[in-house]
Amino acid sequence: MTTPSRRRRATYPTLVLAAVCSLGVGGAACGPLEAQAPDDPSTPPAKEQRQPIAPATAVDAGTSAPQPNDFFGGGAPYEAYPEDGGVP
Amino acid sequence: MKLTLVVNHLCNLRCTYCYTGAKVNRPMSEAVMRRAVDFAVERTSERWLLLAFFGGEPLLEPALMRSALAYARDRCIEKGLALHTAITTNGTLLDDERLELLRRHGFKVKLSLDGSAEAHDANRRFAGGQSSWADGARALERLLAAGVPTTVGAVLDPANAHLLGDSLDALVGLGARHVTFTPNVAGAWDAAARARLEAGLHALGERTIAHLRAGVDVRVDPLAGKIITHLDPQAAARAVCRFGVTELAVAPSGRLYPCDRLVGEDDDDGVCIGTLEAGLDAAKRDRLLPARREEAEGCRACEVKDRCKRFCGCANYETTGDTGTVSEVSCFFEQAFIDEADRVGNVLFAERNPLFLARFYPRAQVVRAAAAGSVALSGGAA
Repeated sequence: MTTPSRRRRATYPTLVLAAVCSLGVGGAACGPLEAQAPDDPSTPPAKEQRQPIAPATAVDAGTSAPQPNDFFGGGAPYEAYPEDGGVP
Repeated sequence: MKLTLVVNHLCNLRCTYCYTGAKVNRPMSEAVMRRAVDFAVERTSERWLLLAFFGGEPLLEPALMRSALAYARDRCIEKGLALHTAITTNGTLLDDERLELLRRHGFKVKLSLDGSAEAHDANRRFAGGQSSWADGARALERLLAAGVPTTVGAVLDPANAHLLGDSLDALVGLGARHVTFTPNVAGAWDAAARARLEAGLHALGERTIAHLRAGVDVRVDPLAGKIITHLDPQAAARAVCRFGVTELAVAPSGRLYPCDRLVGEDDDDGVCIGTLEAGLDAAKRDRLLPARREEAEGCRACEVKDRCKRFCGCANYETTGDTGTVSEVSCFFEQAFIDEADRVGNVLFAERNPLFLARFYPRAQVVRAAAAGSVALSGGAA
């Protein structure tokens, strides 16, 4: 194995960062996100309408249905929100 | 528990990269099938049984599939378990009867089709050497038309790596909306092949971006899966396979394996973890569990180690002979996939692609700023 030298960095936000930015409390971390997102004048003030995006939670081992990853394996996460999952 | 029945070693194709070994006619008996279902139903800690069919080519054995479905249904009712079904098939035998079997029993299908005709026929031909692409393509169209949830499984090999972009276009053109490209890690990935792969991967990313821009909601893995590992640092850990714990494969002989990919010719005692008669050798299974191994020294300093699938015991075994040891070629693929995934993610997020936002930020409201024609993220209950 080699230690990778990354050619690029991810600039799309993680779910946690997206939640913070959506609340408008992310400060500098949300700069590029908000800079490209002009406010819709018809949208109510942020504090009234906006709620955080809940981070993904661990899979319940006793679920009543297999998770999407269970079907064909391969190790690629199927959903960031496993409890919402479902193979299309 | 996921129970995979390898219903026969026989296959009507002779794919060059196939890891299942000799295509001998060795079907699973009704008795072995029943014992396998009993074994899984009695052991499962979940409230469900996922019954999966594998081969060889499983659609060579529709009669056994039918009786397995009926038997598993009865046993699941008895035990209060939900029954789910899946199959991995090349689709070339998909006639009306088999299609109806899959549709009626709610199968999720993984159809092996490597992309364009050129990419596919580079490796996947009938036993007589004829092209199998048209039959596979027709199967895809029929499955989709019948409403059967179908993922296309395409193998990425040195012989077709340069065709990745064309392959995605061909599959999308046939109606596929979920395509998973999986590398043949045992292939001859020399420097020239790796260069072709990197160019092909870039083309795959470009075509993915183009389809999403055009409003075609296609999921392309491993890119999508790698994007998710950035969005959610816990995602890769959750996707670790259940290797012999809540996943079990049974060979026609009744021998047990931690994963269908390790059954091969059913002659490798190194990865056989028991028999239906003698039971599961849990101690041996635990020794094979890749996730329980100590982190490899080369991985410790890797900044993307939490985004990679180094825990795939099958890929490790295939390339290093040890389920817990990651090969250099796997490492190369993981880095290449993550790099391309982040490039695609950066581009699509920067332009606020609505399909990208809807897929990867599903709990965010997508607010269209009508005047500017741009899209912003705002929080919202799912």
